[in-house]
Amino acid sequence: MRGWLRRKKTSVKDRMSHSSEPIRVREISERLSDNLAELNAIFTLTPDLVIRTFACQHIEGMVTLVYLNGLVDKNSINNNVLRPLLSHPEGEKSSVFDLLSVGKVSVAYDFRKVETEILLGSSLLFIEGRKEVLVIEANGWPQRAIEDPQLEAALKGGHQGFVETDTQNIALIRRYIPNRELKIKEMWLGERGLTKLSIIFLADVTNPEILQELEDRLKSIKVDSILNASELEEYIEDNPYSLFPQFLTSERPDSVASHILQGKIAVVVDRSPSVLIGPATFVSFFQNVDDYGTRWPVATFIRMLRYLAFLIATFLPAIYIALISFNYEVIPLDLILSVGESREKVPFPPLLEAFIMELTLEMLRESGIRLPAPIGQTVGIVGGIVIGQAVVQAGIVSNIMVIVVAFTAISSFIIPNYDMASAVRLIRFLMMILAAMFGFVGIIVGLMALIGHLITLESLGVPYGSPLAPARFGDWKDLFIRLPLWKMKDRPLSAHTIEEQRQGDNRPREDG
Amino acid sequence: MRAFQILLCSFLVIMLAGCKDQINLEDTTLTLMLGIDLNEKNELLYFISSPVFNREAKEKSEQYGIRSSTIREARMGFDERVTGLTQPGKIQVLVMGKKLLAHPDWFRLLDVVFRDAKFSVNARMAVLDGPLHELFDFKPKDKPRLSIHVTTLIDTANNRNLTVKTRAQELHRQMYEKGMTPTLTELKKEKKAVKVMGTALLKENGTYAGSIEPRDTILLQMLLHEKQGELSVTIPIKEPNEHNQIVKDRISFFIKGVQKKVKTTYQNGRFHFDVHFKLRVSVSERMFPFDMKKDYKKMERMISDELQKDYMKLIKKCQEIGADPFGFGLYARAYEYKEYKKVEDDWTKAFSNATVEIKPDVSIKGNGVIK
Repeated sequence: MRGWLRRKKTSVKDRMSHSSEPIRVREISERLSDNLAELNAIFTLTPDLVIRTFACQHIEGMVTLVYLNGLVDKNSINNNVLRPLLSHPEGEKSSVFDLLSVGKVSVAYDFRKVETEILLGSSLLFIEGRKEVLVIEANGWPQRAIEDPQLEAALKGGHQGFVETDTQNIALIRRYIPNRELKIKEMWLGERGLTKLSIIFLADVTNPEILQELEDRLKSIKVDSILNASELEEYIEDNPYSLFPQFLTSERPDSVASHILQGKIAVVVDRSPSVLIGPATFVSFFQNVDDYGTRWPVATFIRMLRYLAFLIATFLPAIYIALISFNYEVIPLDLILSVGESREKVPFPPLLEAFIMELTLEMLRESGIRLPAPIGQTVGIVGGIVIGQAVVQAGIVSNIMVIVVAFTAISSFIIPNYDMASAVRLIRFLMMILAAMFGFVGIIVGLMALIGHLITLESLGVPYGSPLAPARFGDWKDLFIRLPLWKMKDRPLSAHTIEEQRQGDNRPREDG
Repeated sequence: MRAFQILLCSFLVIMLAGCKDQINLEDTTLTLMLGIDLNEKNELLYFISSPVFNREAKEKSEQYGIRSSTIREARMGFDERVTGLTQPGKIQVLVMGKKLLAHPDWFRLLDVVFRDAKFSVNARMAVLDGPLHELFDFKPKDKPRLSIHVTTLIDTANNRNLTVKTRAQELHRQMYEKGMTPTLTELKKEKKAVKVMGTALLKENGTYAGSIEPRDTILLQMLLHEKQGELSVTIPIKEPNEHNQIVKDRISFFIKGVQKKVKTTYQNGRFHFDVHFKLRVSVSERMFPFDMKKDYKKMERMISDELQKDYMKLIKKCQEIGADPFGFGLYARAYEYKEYKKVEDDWTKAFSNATVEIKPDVSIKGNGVIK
């Protein structure tokens, strides 16, 4: 039994070795019937494959149109392919190629190509007596309309978010950067779920070495399929064991365009509504398009708020534990009495108390994400009652702990990037354990380890801690303080661009 | 493999026993007030007052007093009685009995306060005029916990400069500083309240020398720290008036700004200190008619004279009892080092021979919102 199972399993590696062998590829035959037989042999059990053979005598003779139902644009097939071919008036001599009123038509010569093209949604036109087949691009699959990006809502940015079709996504980016230097390198990935990647960059700005590095990494991936941009991220990260995200993912074209203009590289993954941006730095996860849309003092304040929120979300429960179980001397007198009073009836040690509440919070949050909107409200109410009142009244946790949890939750929601916020959630638990074991000393050790880790991280070979470590003071204009835009004349150094200046002097000289 | 190693490491770290000094807040008995006293047989008595967090407990704080020889030894005695583990990290007030302060070696009892890093050196130092058990047995119904009450009492009284606020660390400095003598808050347990009696002055060796009233403490504080907190002074004014009125001729004013200059000289075998005060005052209460517009110069002079008189009285008193709470020795050391060095070890004696002249220069800056 087990042997049978083992035999059935073939790893990706096995398939790879198969495909790399020079297997015999059947060429397109002159005889249409041979071709159709071959097609039927390849696509067994494929009821959605449409094979339509019809006479088009006065032009070429018998032709066969093949496509996968549902992956093509039926209007285009009917109006631009079938109609011209079927209703072509007698007498006029012209080639099929000329008759097709479709933008992109290419030619294929073997069945391997035919197979892929059909699966990707192209329509194929076999012609009697020709050793080639026309590949007609009339793709069209179920799509959703362009909507407000869900994960990254912005007040002042554009309200268009990426969708699942890469051509549309690229178009959205191009709308922001109509420049001929905006270059796109296409790449195919995945053995079964062939995925198109488009690497987008500004050719005269982006550092070619970083681009090469990204390309090399992408090329070395051998997988079944890439379903999502974030999935791709895991394969090309510099430090796969780190908790921190090392690529930005965004579903906002304006944000992607802004990063491309800074000299970074974007990877659009077909079928994924988020776009990968690299190289990323730690601070870039705390920036948001709205920062540049609001007035700079306000933007600065909000940015400070985010860094503060990061610290609170990471350390507050840990500090609570450390204060309660080790360093009570630090608590001011009035506070220590009220903390003592509310802690007195709690039967659990502080670590367990904090774990219970933090886990409740995480569960609430997680359940809220997956539930449909009408039921989702219930979660809020139940959570509000549980966290707000009942737990304290039942004497399971203390009032102060509830406040701590609430603070942490609010703080972690302020961090604009979902991946970073998730990383913070996990680090929080590590810090709590450290605090429960060693008090403030533990927290400090944790903080030092965290900083050390952030400094050693790299994204596409570029330091993750930049511009803090290595310190690049030129970039500090857009770090804790967001200076007015006209002060940021150079592109960020952390992107290692080859063209540094991004704008000239945009303010009149102060001469009165 | 590497992931496995990381997992193993974190598991082992979690399994570590951790620090032994972990103690949860609810398991502690926080000492908020510590008292040291002598009984009739000259035995050392230790008192503590701690808050009780338990809901079932009717009283909000617990008090214990035991006989012991040192503070650390006393902790053992307290631990035998209190619910939690006695913790010295949050001691707010350290009260000594007046009787204890009569002995010159009392300060050595506080060794643990400075040696043990877990001990709070922020405790306010106070002396109680009377037996300590009266204070610790005091359970006022209209006040918060006794220890909290005493703490805030000292803090607020200090805010109005009715007494000094000497924290343990500061007392340590004052004790070892040869150019000045220590000062402590003086408390007294009255029948229904704890009262701040002013400031206790200690001699160079730490024994109790005498005390000054809250009113004089204002002057002392002004000389020590210039303007700090609120300085409100009420003084009598001699004006011819009818005799049988109930309202006495008094004027009250806030001192809004103080500038102090001390000139130090050494002449004819004695030190001489000239203290120039520039005071900016604002009248807050006046109990008699006076034409301020015309005669404000006269009023300024009257206030100056009155203040000068008070200061001279205060300084004279300190010289007599052999204390220098003002720290004139520090000035002597700074400006007349050679002479100071000779008398350094007995500065208070040199100070009692010194002449001090206080010259307040009052200028009235405000007169209130009525005429």
